[in-house]
Amino acid sequence: MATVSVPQVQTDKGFLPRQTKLLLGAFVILGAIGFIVFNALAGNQQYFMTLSEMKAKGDLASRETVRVGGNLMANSTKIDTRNVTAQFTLIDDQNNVLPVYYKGVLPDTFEKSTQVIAEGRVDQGGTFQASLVLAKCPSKYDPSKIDWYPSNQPGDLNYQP
Amino acid sequence: MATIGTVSIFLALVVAVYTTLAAAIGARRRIPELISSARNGILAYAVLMTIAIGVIVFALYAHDFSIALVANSTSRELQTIYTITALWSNQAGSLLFWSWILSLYSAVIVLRKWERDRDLMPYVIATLMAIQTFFAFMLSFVSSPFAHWWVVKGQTVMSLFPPAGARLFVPSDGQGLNPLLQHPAMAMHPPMLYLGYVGFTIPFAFAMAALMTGRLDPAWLRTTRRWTIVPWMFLSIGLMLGGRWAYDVLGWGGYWGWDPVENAAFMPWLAGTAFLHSVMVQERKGMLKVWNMGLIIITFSLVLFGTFLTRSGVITSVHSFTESDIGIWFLTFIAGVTLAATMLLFTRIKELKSERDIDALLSREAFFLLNNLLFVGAAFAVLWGTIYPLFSELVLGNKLTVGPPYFNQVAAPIFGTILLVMAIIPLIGWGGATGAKLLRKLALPFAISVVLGAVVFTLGVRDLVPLTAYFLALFVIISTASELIQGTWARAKNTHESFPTAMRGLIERNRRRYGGYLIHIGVAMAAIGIVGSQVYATDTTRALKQGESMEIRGYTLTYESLSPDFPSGEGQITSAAVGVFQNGKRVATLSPSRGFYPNSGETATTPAIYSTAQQDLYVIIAGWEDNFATVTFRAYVNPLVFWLWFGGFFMVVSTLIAAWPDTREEARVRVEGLAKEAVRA
Repeated sequence: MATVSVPQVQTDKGFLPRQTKLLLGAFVILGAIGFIVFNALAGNQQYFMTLSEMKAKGDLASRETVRVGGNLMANSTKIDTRNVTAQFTLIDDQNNVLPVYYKGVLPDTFEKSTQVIAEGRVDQGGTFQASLVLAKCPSKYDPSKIDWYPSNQPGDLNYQP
Repeated sequence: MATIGTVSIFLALVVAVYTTLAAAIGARRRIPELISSARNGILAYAVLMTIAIGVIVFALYAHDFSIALVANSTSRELQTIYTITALWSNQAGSLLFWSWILSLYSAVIVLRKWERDRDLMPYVIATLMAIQTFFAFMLSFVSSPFAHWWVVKGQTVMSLFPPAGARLFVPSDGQGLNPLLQHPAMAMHPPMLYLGYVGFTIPFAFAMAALMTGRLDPAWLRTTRRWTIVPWMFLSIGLMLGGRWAYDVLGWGGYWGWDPVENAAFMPWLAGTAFLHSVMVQERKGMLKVWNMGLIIITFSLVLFGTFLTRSGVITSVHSFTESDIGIWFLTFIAGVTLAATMLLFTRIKELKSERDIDALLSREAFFLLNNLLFVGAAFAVLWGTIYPLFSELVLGNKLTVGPPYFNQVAAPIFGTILLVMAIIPLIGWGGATGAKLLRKLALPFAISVVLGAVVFTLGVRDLVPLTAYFLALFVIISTASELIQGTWARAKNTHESFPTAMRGLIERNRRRYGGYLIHIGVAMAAIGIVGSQVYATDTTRALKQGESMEIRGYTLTYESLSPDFPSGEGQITSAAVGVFQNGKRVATLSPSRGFYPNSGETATTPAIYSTAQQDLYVIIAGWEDNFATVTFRAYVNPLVFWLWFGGFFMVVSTLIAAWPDTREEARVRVEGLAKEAVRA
């Protein structure tokens, strides 16, 4: 199949050749997106630390909003349903403790959770004023960590298929 | 019975390896028998995977707790429908589901497209089965759906083969399903997502085949047209269902949290949307060829990455629920695939030169290029925010989190610009328009949109960002609708059809273009819903005694009664009756509830929603005391969120219209195929 190709004479209007204009435009767009991304990232990162790291960083947690993760101390949760506030204590393996005060509704999984992440700031009294609380579901969903307790009930351990 | 499943999977692995090699060697050395054999291999793989999945589904239905997957994800009290859908609630089941869907798609492709794309097919098979080899390997040795629980030295261990000295452990009842997953939207969400994810493997395989054979003409694009838009549709449905589930089940009044697992599904959608659009330029004008190859590689890599993110829990996420060693395997696989595909692209890059240059900045081609940049930019922005915590920990030594504020801040300008492009594109032609001509075409839609924007302003929207967003979304709707109306009008004048018939005819003549316009309208509606609910949502929390009321935005809610501990499936549900009044008249009775699930020891809060086109009233039980004498309710009012769901629905229906088989088009393609056969013979 024969094609006749006519050399196309493109008249470039304006100061720059078309292809350069296109390339410039692409760079501008990508540059703008890059700027938006890095700007937003710089302004919206938060330190995420353990209790011991928080202790080591001095008063950072009282100056800036941070996220801190720890284990929920058993029986430390007190919920006030009337005022919709809650208090609990976070503890870690080195026995660092942090009392937390949260104005809001705790997640459903909270009291059964082992690990909790709280976002907020430490106030002058040393209590962590949380604006957000996340409860990490216990290893319930990690099938290799399910605790099966073979009991004396018929149908468990002694079951032979 | 589990043995049948295990054997099927091992056989499938063998078949996958054989088929990959047979297809590759048969193609290189031109041995038709090997190629035929490879074709049968694909069908055999599909059969074997179907057997495996049949076995596991039967095991689920029959409560065969000797299989760990069944014991871990279901229980005897669980409703049958959730018992079956629990298949994809866990890691091994999801991988099996993924591979099974791909095997079915592959079988359909070899059965339907064999004649048409003879040159490409062997390489398509090789690519598909190479991918299946990975999955079959994972299912055989790393994450088997047929693993059992064994007891050895007083500890329980889950594995396919028994450790030394172990005895099989069969629990009398299963652990049950996470109560949050016991919801119809959640039952359908993974299948929809996977039909989407896996669907993109097909155009990827064709792209690789095109690169490997050097047959870089748009044939592979035309063949995979429907295989791109249909997965795109399923992915969109999956994302919508995920959002709706979050809204209905998680009880925080929202539907999207920029969680890594959510982003994992959104990123391939963004790249896939870019690909979907960009291929039109190659088909029409022979341009953006390198872009298209790049985009499908990016899309498929993001599909694999998304599967990896969701199933390996590598980034701490409240949704992450499985953590095991598939992570390393997956990462290696993704790196390998992306690297190989990119290298292949570079070997052919000279042959992928554009046939033309972009003639004008104000042309459809240029705007499609801009579209690519914006969508890829958006995907990058989401990706960077998602993996930054990991990057920062590994490279910089800091542990950081990146939350919704970052994502909202980047999403707004990028998607706002995309809306602007969507508004302009229907009125701009291929080859370009002068600035003056374009402005003339845009003038009326622009003016109408400004008027509507002013109306929005008087209705109380005073902040610049949401006002601009509303304006842009309306501009898209008016501009696109004007194109549809003008086209229908012109057709009706010629054919003397009635307006509706003319519109139908117009759409049928060019489904891709006009179906696409309808999809855009759906997207704009969804955008309106997102802006309204994100920017102007309000909430109130009150503790009420029975008979007391609370107010929010013109609604009066009265705590009327409570029914505690009603057994339902695995749970015990306590629900309150809340009367909703507007202007003194009862408009609804809502039943927010809280369920307690003894199997998992968890509570799940279920909201009750009164939805109108204008806003949603969303009520949850936040707590109670004194044996329900006082119940604390939290009520949200989410403006315009209805339009998000309706816009999504509109998008999906429009996609069906756009993708519907066109008898005339099919005939033309068949003739093309026959002509090719004649030339070959």
